[in-house]
Amino acid sequence: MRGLGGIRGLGELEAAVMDVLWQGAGELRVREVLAALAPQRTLAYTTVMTVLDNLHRKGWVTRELDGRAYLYRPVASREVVTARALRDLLDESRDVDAVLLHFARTVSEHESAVLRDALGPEAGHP
Amino acid sequence: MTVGVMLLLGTALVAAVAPHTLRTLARRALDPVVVLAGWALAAVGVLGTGAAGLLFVTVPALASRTPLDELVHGPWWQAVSGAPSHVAYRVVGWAALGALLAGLLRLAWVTVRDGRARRVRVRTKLDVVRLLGTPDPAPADGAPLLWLSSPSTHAFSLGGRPGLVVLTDGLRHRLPEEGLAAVVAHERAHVRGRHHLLVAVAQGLARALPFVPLFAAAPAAVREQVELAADIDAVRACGPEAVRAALLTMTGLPVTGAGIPADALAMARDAVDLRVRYLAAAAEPPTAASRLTGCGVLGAASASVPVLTASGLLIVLSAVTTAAALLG
Repeated sequence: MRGLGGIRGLGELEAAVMDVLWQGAGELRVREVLAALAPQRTLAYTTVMTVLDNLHRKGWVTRELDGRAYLYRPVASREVVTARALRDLLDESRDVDAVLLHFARTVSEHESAVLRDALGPEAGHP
Repeated sequence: MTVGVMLLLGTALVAAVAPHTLRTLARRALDPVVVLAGWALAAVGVLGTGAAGLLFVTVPALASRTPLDELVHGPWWQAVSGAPSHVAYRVVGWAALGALLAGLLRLAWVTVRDGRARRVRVRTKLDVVRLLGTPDPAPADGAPLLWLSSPSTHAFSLGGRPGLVVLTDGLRHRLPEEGLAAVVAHERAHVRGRHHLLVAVAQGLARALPFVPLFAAAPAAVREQVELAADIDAVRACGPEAVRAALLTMTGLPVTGAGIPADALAMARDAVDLRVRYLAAAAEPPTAASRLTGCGVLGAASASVPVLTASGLLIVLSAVTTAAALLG
């Protein structure tokens, strides 16, 4: 068993960094992200740089060279990324064995469709 | 060999009939936990009896000391020992061995492959929602909660220990406090009851041996029953009205009839009836004793039916042979 705690810890750090980027307007340098995290966490400059590099590799942020440092920016707003991720997460036909269990799924698609038709467009989607 | 063939016939009959029986029981609003136990033990019974049947066909001597063998003594044995085509028997024996090994290997391979793929996917999903979501600060009584900033109304859970319950902000805005508590109780019941694992096992069996009707039908049935089981847990915690309101909201149906014709509203009630019906039954939630008894009775029945069917077939066969010998 590889250190699950380690993975979770890294995930938390990535989440904290994304938080900073989503809250901060525009583009941020590593140094600025480090400063924004400083009140709660004392991190090494290289740690934040590695985390940002990972996030870039995973496609969460874009970066642009400005002088000798990169400027990092989220690829899209938190809401837009969330909407996209939700679509993926809820699309079970493509990914049947990753077992998510949903509230309100048992009412079959067919039944829901029949009901929506019967109720007219104003009964609409959430 | 006869014993083996009859065991296989019994297995095939049960594998074909059990899904209908179990679905009928489920429609009668039987406790979903009991129905799940029935599916699980029927699967164990079919797997065990099928494997034993193939083994007995391969090595008939194995069956000669079992009680099943007693059922076919008499004229039948004379008919068999006088039978001429030994080559055919041997071919069937080898085929049975091949089928047994192929089945076992396939089951093992699919289990390992799918299990690994699932763990990777679940970890990816966890990474994504952890990056996007905000953990709920309240102390967790069960799986931790995570909020996603989205106006939609979605709730789902990821299995494991401690597992995770993911909720969208839309729920906070659209559901009253009791409704929200019901959704959380429902999702935590999935995690606590290891429902994700049950669904994964059913999917694994369906993927490995899709030609067995019992296994092909299992994933959909198990999914349905775990939802009902989680509903009952939510009712225990929050009452049927809260669960019902949450269900209606999350299927996108109006909870109140504003602007909707009365008959349409009645229809909305009827369709969600699928689960609401169980909510009514859950007003008197099953006691631990009744649950245990139900699981025991249905489980024992499901697991032993393949063997009993095989025994019945053997008795009939023996009787027919005896009658034929007497007449001839």
